[in-house]
Amino acid sequence: MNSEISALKEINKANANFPYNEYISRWKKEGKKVVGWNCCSALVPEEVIHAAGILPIWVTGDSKELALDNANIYLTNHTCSVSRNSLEQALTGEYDFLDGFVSTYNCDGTRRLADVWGLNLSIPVIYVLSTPRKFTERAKEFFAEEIFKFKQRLEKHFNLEISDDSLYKSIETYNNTRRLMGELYNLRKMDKPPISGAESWQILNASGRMPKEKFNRLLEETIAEVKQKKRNTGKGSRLMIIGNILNNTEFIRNIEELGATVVVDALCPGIIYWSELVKADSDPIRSLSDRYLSKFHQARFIPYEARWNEVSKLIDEYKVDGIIMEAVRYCSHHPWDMPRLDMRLKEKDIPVLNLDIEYGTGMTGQVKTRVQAFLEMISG
Amino acid sequence: MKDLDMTLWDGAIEALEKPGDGWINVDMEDTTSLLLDKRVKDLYLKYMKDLRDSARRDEFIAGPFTGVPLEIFRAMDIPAVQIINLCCLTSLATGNVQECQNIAGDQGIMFETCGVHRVIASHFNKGWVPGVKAIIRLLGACDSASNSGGISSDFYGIPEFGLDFPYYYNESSVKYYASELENLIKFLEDLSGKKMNWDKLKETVKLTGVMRKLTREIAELRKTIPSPMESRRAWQLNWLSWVYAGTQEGIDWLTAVRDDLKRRVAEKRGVVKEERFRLMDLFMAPMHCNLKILNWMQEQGVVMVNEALIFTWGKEDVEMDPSQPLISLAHKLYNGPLMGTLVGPIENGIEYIVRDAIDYNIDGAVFWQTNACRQSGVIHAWKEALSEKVGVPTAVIEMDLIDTTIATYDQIKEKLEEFFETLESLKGRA
Repeated sequence: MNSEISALKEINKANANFPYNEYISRWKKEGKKVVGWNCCSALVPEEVIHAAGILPIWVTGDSKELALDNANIYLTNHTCSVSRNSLEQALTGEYDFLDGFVSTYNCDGTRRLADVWGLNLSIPVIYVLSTPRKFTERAKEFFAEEIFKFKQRLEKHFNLEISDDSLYKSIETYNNTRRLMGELYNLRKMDKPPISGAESWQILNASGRMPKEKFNRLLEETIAEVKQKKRNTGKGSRLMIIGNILNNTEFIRNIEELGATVVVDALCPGIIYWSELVKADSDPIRSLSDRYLSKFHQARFIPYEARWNEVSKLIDEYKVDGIIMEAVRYCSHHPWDMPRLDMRLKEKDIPVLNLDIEYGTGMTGQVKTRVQAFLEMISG
Repeated sequence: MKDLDMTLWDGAIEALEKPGDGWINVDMEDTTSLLLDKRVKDLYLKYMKDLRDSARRDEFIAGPFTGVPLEIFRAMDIPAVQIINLCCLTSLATGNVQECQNIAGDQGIMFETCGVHRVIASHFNKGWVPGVKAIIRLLGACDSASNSGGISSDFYGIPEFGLDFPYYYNESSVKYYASELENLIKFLEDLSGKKMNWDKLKETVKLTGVMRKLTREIAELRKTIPSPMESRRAWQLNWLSWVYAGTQEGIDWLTAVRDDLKRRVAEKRGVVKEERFRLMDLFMAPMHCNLKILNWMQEQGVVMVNEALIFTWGKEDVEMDPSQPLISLAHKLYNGPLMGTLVGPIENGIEYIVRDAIDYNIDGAVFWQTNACRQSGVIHAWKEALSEKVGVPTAVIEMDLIDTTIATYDQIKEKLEEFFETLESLKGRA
């Protein structure tokens, strides 16, 4: 039995009373603003919001399956349950504390959520970023223009000015988060990982739900504590999860309870969220553009081989025995990404389990049975 | 690269050469403008046969997906299979749609993906798209169209090119998209060994401009009551405007359609004897019945007078400027029908639909809710806008463009009959 991580208790306060947790409540009581952002590929440069003295938080659905009675009125059930779950939260007033909303052109679901949000909710949509699907020099130049427009919209909406200095400071804060996340993930590369996948996921969820400065301090403490306590959470096969945004920690906990360790991921809010530092140079906006288009690539990006090479590298670095791929029903990209990756993984001789799930699910009976059979299969 | 398999194409050509009563293959005796239908069928057959010949000669054939401008290929003298059209048509003509759905399923492509794009993927999995050596897909506006292109290139083991397509229609996006077209040209030059003929591209863009003007004229004439144009004609025009973009054949056909409409308008002769309802088409009518549903609707006195994906234009027309061919093609994509209503913030589409609903004096609208189509996220907003701002109802018909397991022809007819009853009672109340 591994001992508890005390700093994690503090971090988990960001996951309790979702979405209006005590960190956000405290922030609002100080009279400060909160802006929500939504993008399954994490392409909103939060640093710009942070540099305005505003708390950026990630708008997601709840970590459970919801009835979606309200959201289904506005978005058909052919829209992914990620978007509908987030919309349900907003329509039922759970996000009423937000002072604004920012989104992207990530996929059909994301942009329709922004459309419906703008038409039916009083929380203003400040900007929808036109996010390229390539990461060429020209694409980075274009995205830098978009980030600049976003900055201008934010300044106008809140009647403030965002200086280059404050942008550099925010970049440093966010880079610090990324460095610490890298350290956390390095622990999971170990043969006896001292922190489980489910625990890591609690940390990842919290990272988008509280002030980054506080989060960084707590993450630093967590890493130190984990190292010092000499824990071992490793059991069974080493797994990687690939797919849609996943916020329900129970999903990962259930996999691990079946006798496996989730050591790495290629999803949000995992690697997709924190990989790659911003290499801040003379133009902070362009630096942000470079980083957001160079980080781990989601299924929407082309050339596809870049994504495959990144996945393949993680498999080797984390000594992965098997992969669970999950696609939320009616997602635009992952149902097409799964067979593409599948072909390549077969060539690499990596066992794969493909799951078709609803966002927020903890793991229903049938899925559990399939995971169990998969684990039995790979453990030989 | 898969082996060349002509079976499906041969079968489709053979099927099309027989009499039919659908969309492309029309031989209805009571059709007053049968000649226009006949010309479409001939053009389609010519297009397919030319491609088949190119494949047999092992020429470099490109596979562009929806939204990719065919003017580029024409100017480079590269045969281009417009994938979505050809895959669907060949499957429909040979009756193997269900087989394709199963093939896609076997490849791990989920049922919750668009039926049309499952068909496309299955064709590439089986090697049924002869001779295609590169895939070109538009990145954005419809994620399925983009993603089915990706997996198709995997199945064939051929290179793919993605045309990045920004969200907003503004100068910056137009320039970016034009630079993408430049990159596409380089990609094609490297692969095919053929060079871009810039003079020919300018000429092609000029002809595209003529086609756009003719389409605008047709759109204006369709505002007349009673409606002078068959509903299926719009889809013929849509197909032809893509495949024969920037060609004299395209201009000739559109001119013939325009003249036919002018004549009917002058004679005050509608396409149906008694016009019961004028409807707006908010998406795409089912192709699995070869759009026969539109012919049946006409028999009921119901005419589609505007299609949001074909005849709903942006705020203003942008002249095609042959001296700036790539910029012109970028404007065409953003401002023209199809992407004009689907790309960018939903407010744009709503504005154009409401404007046209008023201009075309519609009694109601039909949203063909295609199974698994992510674009159907607009339904509620569009429906509400038409109800509140124009005072007309919208029927949402759940179906699939190509897969009859979602709704059969008869089931769709039944739902439409119910809608017509609603419209009748609303008319009575008025």
